[in-house]
Amino acid sequence: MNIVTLFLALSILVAIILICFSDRKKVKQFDERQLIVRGRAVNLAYVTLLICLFIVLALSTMNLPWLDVPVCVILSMFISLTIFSVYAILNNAYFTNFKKETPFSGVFLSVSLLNLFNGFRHLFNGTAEDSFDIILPVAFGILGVIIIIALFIRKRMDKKELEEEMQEEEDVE
Amino acid sequence: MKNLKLKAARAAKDLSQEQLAIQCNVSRQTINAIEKGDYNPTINLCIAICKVLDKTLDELFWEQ
Repeated sequence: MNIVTLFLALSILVAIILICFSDRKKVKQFDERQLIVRGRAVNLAYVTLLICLFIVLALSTMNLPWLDVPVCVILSMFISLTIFSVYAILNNAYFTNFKKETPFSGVFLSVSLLNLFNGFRHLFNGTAEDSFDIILPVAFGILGVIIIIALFIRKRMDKKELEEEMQEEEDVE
Repeated sequence: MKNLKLKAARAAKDLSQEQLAIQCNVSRQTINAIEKGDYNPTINLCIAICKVLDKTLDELFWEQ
């Protein structure tokens, strides 16, 4: 048994358990509109996941030599998570009033860029042992950058709304 | 449909969207969505907003 793989699997299990327990408090910190939006985001992500898995299943029946089914399944999950995050971020339902955006954005951007760098390093140096070493880090990096772009767009929209509000108040005065 | 009555009542109390949102325990964007007519609040939130702005439900949320 590969100890590294076992350790990764156990880490993911522990993370899932922690998230499940911590989510109970987080749900109370979202207001009613945010909860509705998050529900819609989950639906959208779920449908996206089903569509991606259907595509992977259809492609796997064609016996394509370049197709790596486990990689595609994990990629489908990444895409689904990204859809959820982007929808929730653009509709102001990702962060609560207590969660700070800037540290999250910084950490997320760093992790995404590190993954991109790692993936491209394997690609150009030819050091990849299998497709996991290239496709997943590059995909995670790109999807992470997409989430950061969504955060940036949301910040600009919020700033514009605040400016409009201030302008309207000045007009009334 | 925009809720101009809410906006006017908020302005009369000299409250920003952020300040009203904090007092009603919601996000600023939720108040913004209600004023723009993009979101219909639940009765509990309507009551919370009315209490903060010292208005009745009819005055803020009834269509005429």
